Amino acid sequence: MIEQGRIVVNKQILPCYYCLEIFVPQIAASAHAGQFIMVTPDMGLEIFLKRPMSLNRIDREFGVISIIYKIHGKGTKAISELGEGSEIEILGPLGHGWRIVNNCRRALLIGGGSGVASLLPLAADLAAINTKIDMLIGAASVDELFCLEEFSALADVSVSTDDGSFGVHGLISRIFPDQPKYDAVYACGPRGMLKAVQQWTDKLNLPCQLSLEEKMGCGLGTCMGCVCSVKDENGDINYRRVCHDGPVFNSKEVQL
Amino acid sequence: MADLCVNIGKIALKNPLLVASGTFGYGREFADIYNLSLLGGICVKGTTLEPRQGNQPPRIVETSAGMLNSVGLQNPGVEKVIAEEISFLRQFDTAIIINIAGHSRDDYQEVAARLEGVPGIAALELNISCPNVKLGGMAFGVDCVAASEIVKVVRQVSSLPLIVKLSPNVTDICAIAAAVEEAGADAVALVNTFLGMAIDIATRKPMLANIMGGLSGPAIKPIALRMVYQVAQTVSIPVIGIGGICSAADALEFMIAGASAFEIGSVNFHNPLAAPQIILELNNWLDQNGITKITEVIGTLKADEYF
Ligand SMILES: Cc1cc2nc3c(=O)[nH]c(=O)nc-3n(C[C@H](O)[C@H](O)[C@H](O)COP(=O)(O)OP(=O)(O)OC[C@H]3O[C@@H](n4cnc5c(N)ncnc54)[C@H](O)[C@@H]3O)c2cc1C
Ligand SMILES: Cc1cc2nc3c(=O)[nH]c(=O)nc-3n(C[C@H](O)[C@H](O)[C@H](O)COP(=O)(O)O)c2cc1C
Repeated sequence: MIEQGRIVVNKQILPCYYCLEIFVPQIAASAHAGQFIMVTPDMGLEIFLKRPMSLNRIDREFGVISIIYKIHGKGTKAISELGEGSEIEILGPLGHGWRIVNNCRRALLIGGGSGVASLLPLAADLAAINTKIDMLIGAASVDELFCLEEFSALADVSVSTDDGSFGVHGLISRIFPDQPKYDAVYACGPRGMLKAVQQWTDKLNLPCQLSLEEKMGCGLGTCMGCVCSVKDENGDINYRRVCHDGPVFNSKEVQL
Repeated sequence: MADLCVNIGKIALKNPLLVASGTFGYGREFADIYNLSLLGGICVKGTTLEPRQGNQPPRIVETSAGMLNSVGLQNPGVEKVIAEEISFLRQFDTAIIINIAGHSRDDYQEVAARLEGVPGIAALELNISCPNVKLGGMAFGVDCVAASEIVKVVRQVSSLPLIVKLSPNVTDICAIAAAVEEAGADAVALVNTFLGMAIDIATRKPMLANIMGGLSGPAIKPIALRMVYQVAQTVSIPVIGIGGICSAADALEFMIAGASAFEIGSVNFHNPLAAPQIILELNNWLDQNGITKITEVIGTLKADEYF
């Protein structure tokens, strides 16, 4: 659905990350963890396409959702300039989000970069059914580490940074657990990280879901722009829409 | 409330707004957003004989006031379109136009033959202009003889009105328009996308895996408008204007230049409510200007006023 929202908060939380909270009661009421919204940075025509952003918080009671975004190019720059109290057009909630597996006693959540954002509502849902959660966060540096407190309240958190400014020095694969016993692994982050997670969970035969990013035209499933390769039951490889069939895919099926 | 009805030859439209092929799928996603019966018509995604996978991603890149795409006709094939999509679209009171494409003349003919007699189709739109697949049509659309042959072979098997969708990637679009008119087209629609490209300077890689793609959106509007104007001067069959239309004012420019109807494409991504908003704005504009019928606007360019 398209909802005219009102910006409650739009503030810088880290040198290159911002948090945007929007009052969109209808979208908040129907949103699920792992879904995303399309944000219109500017109603003018110069920035032509909407920007996909994962839901970081879904507050159904107050009708508020939030996203955490990094300034990447002109669209996210324009979003960062939107004033609190102003109106913003939101399309959503979109896509198929995280699936909570039956009897999920232990789950591992792996987030890299801005991909960490979409795991927070999942952690909240899992905690609500008493799943024991381990969480791995990978960031470029301590300056790009967000939601640490929120995750720590719900999960057992380990951190790696590329420059060693916080937690373990190096890539997130360095903190993959040694004796993993999980009913589900959930990962969202850069392609390279997802590939490492996929190889690791394949080797250990752990059920895993990956959330993908791809350039999008409409976000609705009509334009066929944002496809990824997915293997079907017969072993045939087909293009599936990240916006509509995903963004969350079964790691066993998706070809990275 | 002005009269928005227009005719494209034998096709009667409740208003001149059609949604352009490839930007609206088969209407399912937009049907959740507004009532598709508001639309003058729907041009469905380019349909081929066999299912097509389309091109490798990335397939989309935003450019200034527009976008490039190299989707490459990903579609489930004509049989599935008939079984699942046309039957879905039939419930709406709007003109259903099936956009068809192929590798060869025989492909176009076969797709048209399969669609013959299927209830609920208002017209065929022959896409001889897709820039994104080798022989995806554009090869036919840049050559007068090849373009007319497609029209002739489809005409042999189809009783539906034929709209030929023209490529702007030609030296003389009027020559192609005249050729397809001569071959029996009932209308022409223009333009399809302009072949373009974009490069990531950091990696020096093309932004699209296909290297090149089709440019659409407001960035192309002045060129599309010029072509519509020229073609409308050349042919006597109805012209459907396409290219960067984002508002009623844009649409009116095309109609004044000679288009009997228009299609909106990429703006459906920019603003999914664009279609109903433009229809409303058109009506308001006509009312404000004391014009009772939209047909009174068509081809009214005062080209001589400066002399
Ligand atoms: C499902 C999904 C969820 C996302 N969630 C978040 C999030 O929670 N926080 C966050 O910071 N970022 C997120 N992203 C990435 C975010 O959409 C891009 O960073 C943003 O679109 C960049 O826009 P720009 O104008 O600043 O950059 P530009 O480079 O100027 O953008 C140009 C075009 O490329 C597209 N684009 C550029 N990078 C990406 C990308 N990584 N993925 C998809 N499209 C891209 C833009 O949307 C735009 O159409 C998500 C992407 C997807 C697909
Ligand atoms: C993502 C995308 C897919 C398209 N697919 C088709 C197609 O399958 N067949 C076709 O004839 N035109 C296709 N087009 C072209 C549009 O129908 C239209 O001619 C073009 O985008 C120009 O109009 P616009 O500037 O309003 O978008 C496509 C355009 C886009 C952006």
